[in-house]
Amino acid sequence: MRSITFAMLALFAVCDLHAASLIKVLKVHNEQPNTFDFGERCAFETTLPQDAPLRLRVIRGTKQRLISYARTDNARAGCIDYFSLLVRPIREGNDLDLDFYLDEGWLSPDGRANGQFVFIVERDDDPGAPVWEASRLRLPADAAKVATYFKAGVEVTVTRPRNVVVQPNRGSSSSSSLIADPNQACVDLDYDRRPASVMQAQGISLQGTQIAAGSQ
Amino acid sequence: MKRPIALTRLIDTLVQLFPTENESRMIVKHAGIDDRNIAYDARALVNWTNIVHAALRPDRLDELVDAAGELHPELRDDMRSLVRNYRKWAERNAPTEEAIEKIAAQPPPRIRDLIRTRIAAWSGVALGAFAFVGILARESRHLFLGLPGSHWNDLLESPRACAIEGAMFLGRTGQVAWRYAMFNPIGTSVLVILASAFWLLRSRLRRIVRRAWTPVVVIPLIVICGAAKLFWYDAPAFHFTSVLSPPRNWIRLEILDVRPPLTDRARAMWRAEICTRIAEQDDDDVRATCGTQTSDQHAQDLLGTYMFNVLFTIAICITGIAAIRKLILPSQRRDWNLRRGDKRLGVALTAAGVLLALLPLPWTYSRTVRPTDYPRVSDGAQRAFRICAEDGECFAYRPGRKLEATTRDLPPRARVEERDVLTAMLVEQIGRRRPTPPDRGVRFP
Repeated sequence: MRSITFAMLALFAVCDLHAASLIKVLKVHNEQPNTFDFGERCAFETTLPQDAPLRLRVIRGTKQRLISYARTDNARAGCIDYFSLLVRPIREGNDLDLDFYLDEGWLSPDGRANGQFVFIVERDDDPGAPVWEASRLRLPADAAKVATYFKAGVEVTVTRPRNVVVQPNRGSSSSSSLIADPNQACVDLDYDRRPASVMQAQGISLQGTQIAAGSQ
Repeated sequence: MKRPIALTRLIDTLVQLFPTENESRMIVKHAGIDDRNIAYDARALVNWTNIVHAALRPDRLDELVDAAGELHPELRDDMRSLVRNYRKWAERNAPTEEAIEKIAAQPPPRIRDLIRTRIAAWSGVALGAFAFVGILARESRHLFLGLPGSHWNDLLESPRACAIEGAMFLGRTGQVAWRYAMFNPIGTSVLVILASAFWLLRSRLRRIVRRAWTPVVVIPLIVICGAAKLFWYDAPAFHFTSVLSPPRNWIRLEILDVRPPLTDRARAMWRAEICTRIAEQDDDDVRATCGTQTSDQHAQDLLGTYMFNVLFTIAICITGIAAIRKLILPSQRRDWNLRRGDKRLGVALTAAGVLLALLPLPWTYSRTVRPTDYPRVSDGAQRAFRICAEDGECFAYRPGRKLEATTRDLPPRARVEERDVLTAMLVEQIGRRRPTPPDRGVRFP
């Protein structure tokens, strides 16, 4: 029985390694914070390349905090799992419309503080997939690599109403369902630098360089 | 030779102070003026014109003013000042006996002339007021819809368009009154009956309020009422801004991030405004916002709120203008004949109260009951509202998208139909699935 279990785990690990594919990340570094008001539509104006479909990976937290996880004892296992939401935006010219409004689910879980997220722009290798889906991102527990990955994204803050109490989101997706199989391999990261591009979100200028990164 | 202005003002003052013939006879007798040559008249203006002219030859103006000043000592100095001004004029111009005779023989202006002058003056004032109201209404609409562009340029660029806009504001307010009467005939009937009773009993009411009709009571009352009306009916609507662009989910009332104590009021007004359009939609968010009321019931709330705003504004303005008139003109009631400084302060405060009530009305109108129908241009698969702010400045609006600058010219085969842009904006937000991001970044605490 035990041997069968080990054999199955080994098989899953091999499958997982095969499933790992190179995803290209468009590196954008923002000079000003991207701030959306509560209830605002999540949309950007960009000058991103038009030649390939894009998706946005949304992870809760600030860049600094997300990077810090790779430096702690949490990363002993060699990989670190991030919980993310993959969103396939509607593209119309230079508009990148995520086609939803930032409601209470995008504030802090208790609804009393601003919501802070990192949006990472990736090339979409599966455009036919659902418009949004929960996804796990398993990065190697290498602080430098993790830092490079998150610095490619933009920080987005969803500001809570200052004078009105917003009920916390009861239907928020539980991240516990995204806990990874401990035997799954973490991704290799690879970078492919391209000429800089400019991205503008609601009047905020973001300058960036296209890179490529491996993911799960 | 035209009658000097000081003499005209003296006549006007005496008309206001002693409007009846009996009172004028008493003053003339007290002044010791021989009244055998005075043609008394029941019309106060004619009467005092004749008396003052009789007092010119021989010059008995001082005695006349002293006699009047004994009954109204608070105005004695003012009247003496007018007499002094007349004397200065007489010294400067050295009128001959014949000229004085002519001045004395001048009849008071005819009623027809007065009416004509007043009609011309009031028409000018009304045109200016319409233009100003129109500017406010247009500017408020720009801010309400979130139209970018050059604000406040209308005054110099298109005053005629602003005057038309102001006139339309009045016409549409009349329409709102009619629509509200259709929604709530019983309430409107009660209001009309009360107004009629008030009109019929106005002379009795005047006697009742006479004691309270003093500057000490009236001026603070107007300021307080103007501020209260602004707070309750207008200030909540000031927060309805940029509803089209950038796109936001306006069905959620939390969008109105309004400070207490205006929070609930602003929410109630916005709820009535959006639920008038979408209350019947089958959606959880709509039900949470609109409750079980129908769109007609919400419309009644919205129109009723605006109508009460209009009624209070009219009441405050009528009272305020009456008070200002009372402050400016000499009055039989001594408490209204204030010293010059106090008079100016009173007029300024009353005018402030009136403006507090009046100016926000077109501002609120453009954000609540004003129709939001705009042409929707269909060109193939593309559909967009065309909203023109000023001459040559138009914007295309597609629900869920930001406003985009466009030209006034339509595509050749475009189909155009009038649609409510606010309804289209709200309907786009109904029934949407919402993605929820993970509640944390990693599994570690």
